[in-house]
Amino acid sequence: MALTLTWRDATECSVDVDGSILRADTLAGLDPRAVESMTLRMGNAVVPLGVLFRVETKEDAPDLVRIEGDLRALTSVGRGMMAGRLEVRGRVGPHAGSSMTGGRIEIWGDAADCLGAEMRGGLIHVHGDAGDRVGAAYSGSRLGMREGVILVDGRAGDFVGQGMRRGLIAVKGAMGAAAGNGMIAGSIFAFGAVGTALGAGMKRGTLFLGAGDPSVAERLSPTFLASGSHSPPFLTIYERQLEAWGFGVPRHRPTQIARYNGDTSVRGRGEILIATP
Amino acid sequence: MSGSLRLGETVIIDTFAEAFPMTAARLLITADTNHWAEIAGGVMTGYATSVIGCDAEAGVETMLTSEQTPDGRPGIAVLAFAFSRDALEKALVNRVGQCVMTCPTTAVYNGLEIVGDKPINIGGKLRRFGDGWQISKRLEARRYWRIPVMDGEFTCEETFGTVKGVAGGNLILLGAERARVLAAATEAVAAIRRLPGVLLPFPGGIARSGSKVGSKYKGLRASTNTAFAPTLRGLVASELPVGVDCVYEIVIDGLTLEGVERATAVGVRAAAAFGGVSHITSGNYGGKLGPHHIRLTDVLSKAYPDI
Repeated sequence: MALTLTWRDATECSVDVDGSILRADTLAGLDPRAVESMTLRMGNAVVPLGVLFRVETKEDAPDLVRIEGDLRALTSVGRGMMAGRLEVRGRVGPHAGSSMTGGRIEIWGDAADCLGAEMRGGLIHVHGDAGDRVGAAYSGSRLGMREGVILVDGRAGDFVGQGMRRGLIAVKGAMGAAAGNGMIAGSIFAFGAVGTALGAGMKRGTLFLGAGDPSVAERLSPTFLASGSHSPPFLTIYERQLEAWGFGVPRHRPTQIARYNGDTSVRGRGEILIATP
Repeated sequence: MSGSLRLGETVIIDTFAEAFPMTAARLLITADTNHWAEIAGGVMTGYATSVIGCDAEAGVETMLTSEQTPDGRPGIAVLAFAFSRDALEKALVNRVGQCVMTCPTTAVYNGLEIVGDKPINIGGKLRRFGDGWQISKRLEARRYWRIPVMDGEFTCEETFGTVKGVAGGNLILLGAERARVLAAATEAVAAIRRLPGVLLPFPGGIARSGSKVGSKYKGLRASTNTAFAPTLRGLVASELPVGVDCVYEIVIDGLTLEGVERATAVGVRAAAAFGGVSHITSGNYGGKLGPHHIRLTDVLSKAYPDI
């Protein structure tokens, strides 16, 4: 049976609640009463989970844990999760899915900052918007996400994929500034408008801009060097995989892809690919 | 040649093909157009008729639509067989490197499931052609190498799955008139090539120089099949009935034993239905060489799905 945790509407919560115990791999299959007796930290207090959530079992889905409600105060949901399915229905606070290594988190709502930060595996799909630092490195860390997939149907904030080492981030809506900042490898697919300072300091990796706006090339740093137009076959492989994950995007074919190599101020083996109509 | 059965005018000899295991891989070659995919597949599978003298047995399995390929372009599926994974890897690294990577607009992908420690590494070896400028992309446990070349980039998957396939299935068609036997053999080849997972490695799917093991000459591993050479009748112990002046052989490799058996049945039926073939038999070594014995009368009695 799927375990469902419903945020109690009457809960007044002016401080953050550490939701890092809310993981599919640790909660799935547990008795609701046992889950309610677990504790979590709310500000500087420790409270039983049952104070904040109503816990029950619902339809037959043994590896599924569902959390419902206005969860903006809830931080680090699914942090470090290794397996299973976690479904969030509502807005969720920062650090959701950070450092996770496996499983799938589906968020039917918006996610705050640091979504999937430093994740090492698994998949996160946000059906709303996401905040800053999606899949990024935490301050002081050298590497952002090292594996895994983050899909955002809406918009995303600044520093998407900052320092990412491997993995895939795809955003359908607009992205803020400095996407791919300091990227070491991996792939970022942007299908909406993009902000400034794209790929600044990226050593390797791919930034694909699929909105079909060729003027974005004029805003690239001069440390990115034009290297002609191509139609690399691997893009279709990615498009099909995105579709398979339930993240359908417009096919870029038969457009040409303008390629810019950079950032030459560092190692310069990265690429920004701009789909042109 | 007793214990036979008859299909129309053709006598099916009650004997068996002696097949043996070989390591097999399936490659999907894509290109901007069918034309270039076919050229790449044709060149890559050249000089790959028999492991007696080639590094692998290989051929085009089928054409692929853009919906059947990973990168949405038209393509072909190629099957390749060799005696070991190491031998297959070496042959395919050379063949992909020299014949596919060089061919305009192409890319190469794995066409078999990767199981355990069985895969071979092709893209991971060819990547060095990129001289350090190659780019790796990993998606869902599959790694693709993007190697810069003069028309853009050559994409090659890193690892390719292998299976223990079956090689050496065969049909031997006997008849009086060369043109009619060849036409019947061609018809059988066309019927077999409609089946998935099988390969007919010889030119046009047909071998006219069937061989026996060994030779009077030192160092030769195989020599002409004297028992089936019409011009030697009377000089050697011949297997040919009176009136047979032409013999063609269809060798069948497959990803599974069932696939080879099914192809054998399809080939026998097609050749017999076409006419001009007095006898159909199979080559074996008395059961001492290969573990798979594909008896003609048995496969004809089986009901195969999708035939």
